[in-house]
Amino acid sequence: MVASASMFMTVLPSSAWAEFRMIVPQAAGNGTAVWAAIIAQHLEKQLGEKIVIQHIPGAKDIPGFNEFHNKLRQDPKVIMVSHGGNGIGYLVDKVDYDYKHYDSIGMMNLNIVVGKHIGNPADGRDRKVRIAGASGQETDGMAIAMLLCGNLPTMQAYLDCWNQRAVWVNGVPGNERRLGFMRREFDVARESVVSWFKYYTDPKAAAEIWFHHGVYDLDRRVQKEDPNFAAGLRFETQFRKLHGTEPKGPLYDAYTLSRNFRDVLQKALWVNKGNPNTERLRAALTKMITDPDAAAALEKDTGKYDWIIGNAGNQVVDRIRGNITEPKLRDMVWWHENAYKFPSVYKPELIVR
Amino acid sequence: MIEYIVWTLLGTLYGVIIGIMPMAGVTTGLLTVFGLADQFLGNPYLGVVFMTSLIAACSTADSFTSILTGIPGSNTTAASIIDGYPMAKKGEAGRAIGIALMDSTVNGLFWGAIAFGLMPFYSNLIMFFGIPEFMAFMILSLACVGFITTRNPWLSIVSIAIGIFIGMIGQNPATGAHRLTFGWEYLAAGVQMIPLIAGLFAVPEVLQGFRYQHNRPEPIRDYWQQLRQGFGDCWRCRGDVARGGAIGFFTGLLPGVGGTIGDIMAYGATVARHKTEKFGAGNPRGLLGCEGANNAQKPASLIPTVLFGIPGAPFAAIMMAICMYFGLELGSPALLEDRDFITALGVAFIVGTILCFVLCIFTTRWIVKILEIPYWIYAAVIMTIVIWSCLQYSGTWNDLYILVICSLLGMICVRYKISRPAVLVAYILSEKLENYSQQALTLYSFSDLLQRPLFLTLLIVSVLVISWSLLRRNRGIDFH
Repeated sequence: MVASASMFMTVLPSSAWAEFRMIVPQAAGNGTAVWAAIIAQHLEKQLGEKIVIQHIPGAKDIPGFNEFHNKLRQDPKVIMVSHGGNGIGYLVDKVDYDYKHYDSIGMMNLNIVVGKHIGNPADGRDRKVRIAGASGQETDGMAIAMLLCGNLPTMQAYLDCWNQRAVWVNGVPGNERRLGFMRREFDVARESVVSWFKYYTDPKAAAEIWFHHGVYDLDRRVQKEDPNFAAGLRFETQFRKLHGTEPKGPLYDAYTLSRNFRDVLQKALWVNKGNPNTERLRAALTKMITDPDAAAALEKDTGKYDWIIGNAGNQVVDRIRGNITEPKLRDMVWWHENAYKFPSVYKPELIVR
Repeated sequence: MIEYIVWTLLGTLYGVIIGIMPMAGVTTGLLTVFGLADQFLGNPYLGVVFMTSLIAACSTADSFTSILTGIPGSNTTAASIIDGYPMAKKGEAGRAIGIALMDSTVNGLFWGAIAFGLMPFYSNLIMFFGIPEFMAFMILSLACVGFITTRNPWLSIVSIAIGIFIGMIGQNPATGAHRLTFGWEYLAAGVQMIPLIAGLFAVPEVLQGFRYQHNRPEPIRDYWQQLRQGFGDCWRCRGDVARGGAIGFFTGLLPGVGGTIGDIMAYGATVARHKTEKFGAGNPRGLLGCEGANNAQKPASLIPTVLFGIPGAPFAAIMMAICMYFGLELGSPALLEDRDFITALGVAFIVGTILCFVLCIFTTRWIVKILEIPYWIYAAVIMTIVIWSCLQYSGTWNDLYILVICSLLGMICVRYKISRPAVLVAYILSEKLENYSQQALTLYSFSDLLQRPLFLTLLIVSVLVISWSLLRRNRGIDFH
């Protein structure tokens, strides 16, 4: 056993790691890991070099990104794959990674859908709205709180309303969330766009879209309609329909920050700043997205969304980092701790002054 | 279509070879598949076909080793040695192989057709299971695997506690906070299933193989004549064949219990049914009473696995982990309604069983020459592939450290008769049980729970299982 192990460990670094290495902060089979496998498979054709995927999983998918930041990023052949959960982690968890140190190779600006049962007002007046929660769904919870409570002046007022009208059940994985929704134990279904079409368009699910978060318009810097859905289902539109006014106030501000970091950075590829392979990787990715096979595989996995490639990605990151203000960040952390009971950290150093 | 045929053939062939290797059964065979999992990312159904045909073929071929050498082909064929090996020593190796082949094939086909053919109908069952019912079903699963498979009730508790402890390592599902990681960040994502199964089952079994004196396989004489005689025995004793299969199937349905317990119970039932006959000295009835249990158990064990995501046996746990790698989440409603998945599973099992039958009829005499290879060579090959599979997780030394720790645990379990299936099932159910309990307590009041008949029934059955296991006078043997 020892001999076999030693053989593998001496062979691995010298052969496999000589090629490009894609660091994925999740175990194989998870959403971003599957996306990374598709990217690696198609990108290596354009790059003309093998890409090996290395999974470094861990709590909230943070250790893999930390490992990239602390040890691996100096290697010019290391590419980091991150997702929206890492964006949230950047804001409210104790992490080592920091986007300002990296160059964007490319990113997909995606959307998330929140559904409910057809005919269920899900307003929390008859009984509390039952929400299957988990890490990564904090943004959806904020939006639901605003739909339930309307515009309120303080975060405490939102929390009181939330506690009265909603039950957030922590630790519900995707599969159990879907089953619970179909058995009507949960009132809310929250999914990626592809999963929504896969699981909830069947009449047996008796589900309808409550709202989606929309897609961030990079030029106008606002959320726009999602081409995958009919118009009028965006959060702001639904809020207006329900409450007759635009959403505003402290929770909405915290929500917009959370939404930016989760959805704009939903799927992203990074290298260290100054990496000599940056332009080569960007060129290969640009070619890859025009390859019909790659485009079809990605559309099947994530839906029809645009890529942001090259320096535009860096500009987007600068822009959303510029949205981090003291009240937004403080309120977001406060909400995580009090509404979801997630241990969170307020990091004033993130505030761009 | 051709791809499916090719992968079914490859799975069958690989299953036969792994089955014939001493001490390497379906569990070890599937562990080695984990290293190949990338091959199937493009079309996961091919992976399902490969794994299922491997399971079907391995369950048949692992008997040959037990019969010809007296060394278990896997831990699920131990009962086949009792009468099978003496038959071979008496010059009836061909007859014993005939019995094993026919009995395994008939039971595999019959129970496989029932399990997979009706699977789309079972899927409606899942909608009757709410969060409290799932919680109660998991308690019942732990009661079954813990208290049925171990003689000493204290060891039952120890095995469940060990499994739950390992399952809790990682992060608190409610808050995401680290727990029980002892400062080792690698453990923040929890102990992975592949090294745990490798350590609990594959490594101790490979090491145990060294304890057996390496017998040269008994020669096979008058092969065709004896083979026909074996087939005839199966027809003559068809009641024993049917009983063995039925026992295998129903024990396979109990989460984590399938496997060893099925063939031992089937053997015990055959002996009890024919009290006047002498067993243990080469009675063909003894072999055919237990041989098909193993094959009937496999499709049965996949029912709770596919339906609820609760593995019926250790091999099913690995299949679950590999399917997860492919993005196929066992226990999810979408997969139950995925006709391609159910078809791949059922057709591959049936076709794999038939192919294995045909392949073995014509090639067994030559394939069993593998048994003349020194044991240390098998051991080295299996260990190398198992280590490779474990390294697929992070590719670092950490994967190996955890494999060593799990292997030590596996050997301690063997030494002290702590039920390894119970450790594994408790580990797998630990997080789910914690989640479901938390969810049930958040969403339901005590009076709500008392109004749920299925929930109450499952809890009462759990209590009955534990009471029965504590009170029975003859506690049988340990299945550790």
